[in-house]
Amino acid sequence: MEVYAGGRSQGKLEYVLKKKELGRDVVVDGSNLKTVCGSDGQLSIELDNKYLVIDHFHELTRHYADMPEVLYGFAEKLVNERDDIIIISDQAGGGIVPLDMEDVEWRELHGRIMCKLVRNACHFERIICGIGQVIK
Amino acid sequence: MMVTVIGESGSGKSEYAENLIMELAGGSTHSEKMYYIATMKPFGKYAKERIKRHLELRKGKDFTTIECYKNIENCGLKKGSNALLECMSNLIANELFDNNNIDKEDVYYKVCAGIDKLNDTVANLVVVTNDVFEDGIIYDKETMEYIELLGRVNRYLVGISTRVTEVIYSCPLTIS
Repeated sequence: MEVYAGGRSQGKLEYVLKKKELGRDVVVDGSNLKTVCGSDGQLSIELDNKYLVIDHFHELTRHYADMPEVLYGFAEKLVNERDDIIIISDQAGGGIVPLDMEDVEWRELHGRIMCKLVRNACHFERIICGIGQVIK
Repeated sequence: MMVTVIGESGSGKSEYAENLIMELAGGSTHSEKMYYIATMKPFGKYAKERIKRHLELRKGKDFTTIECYKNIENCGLKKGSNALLECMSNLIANELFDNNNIDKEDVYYKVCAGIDKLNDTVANLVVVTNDVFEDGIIYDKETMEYIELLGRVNRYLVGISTRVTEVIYSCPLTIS
């Protein structure tokens, strides 16, 4: 697993596609991933194996912020089953604590999920102005 | 030795800082006292949840917790001990907003003098601070003054630290 993070509009997807020589057909947007209900009645986020890149991962954590267990389950599944996956996400925690509690909780949750992914990733880069800074 | 640890919300900086001060103190067999200087007031749902999480993180790590929301110069630590202060962003907010008449210049010099005193007392000091500078939003006057003040204090911390480490999603990155 590889993780690429940085501020908004830093050219993260473009950087990753060029570096990894991938086309947009293998990219899925985090806002487009849906949940499915398993036979045990548990919800989980579904990801087709044809996708190698999840872009805007922060949109996924924002969308399911009220279901942290579903997000942690998805992160666990990515760690255990998808060592080929590339995660691209905005960093979201570098500002004043928001007034809205939902925003506060999402920022924290997003950070925790990203920590889990990065701990298990073989490669982590921060992208600034389209330039990659290898952190791990 | 003094180390400043900076990171954004949810970056994993607290866990890193706790492990770091333990390491600097000599690991689990440390002989000198380890203080955790908590600056967050336990008011409101957000603060209570944060404090609960931090208490769980520190469980079994042998910290003596000192709740010190302001006036860190008076927190009375033992000479030669080890201290982790978490975090500067709350301390500055408490010093600045608890007293409407206080001048932010006075807060700056008061906090810097407090850090100097701590640093002179303990053998090892780790100060955790927040990166709140990167959302590009123009806030009200008071909040903008707070951001500016925290930025100045952070620069002071960096100036007197032996090491400065940024934590990004659990990864420490030594920046100075």
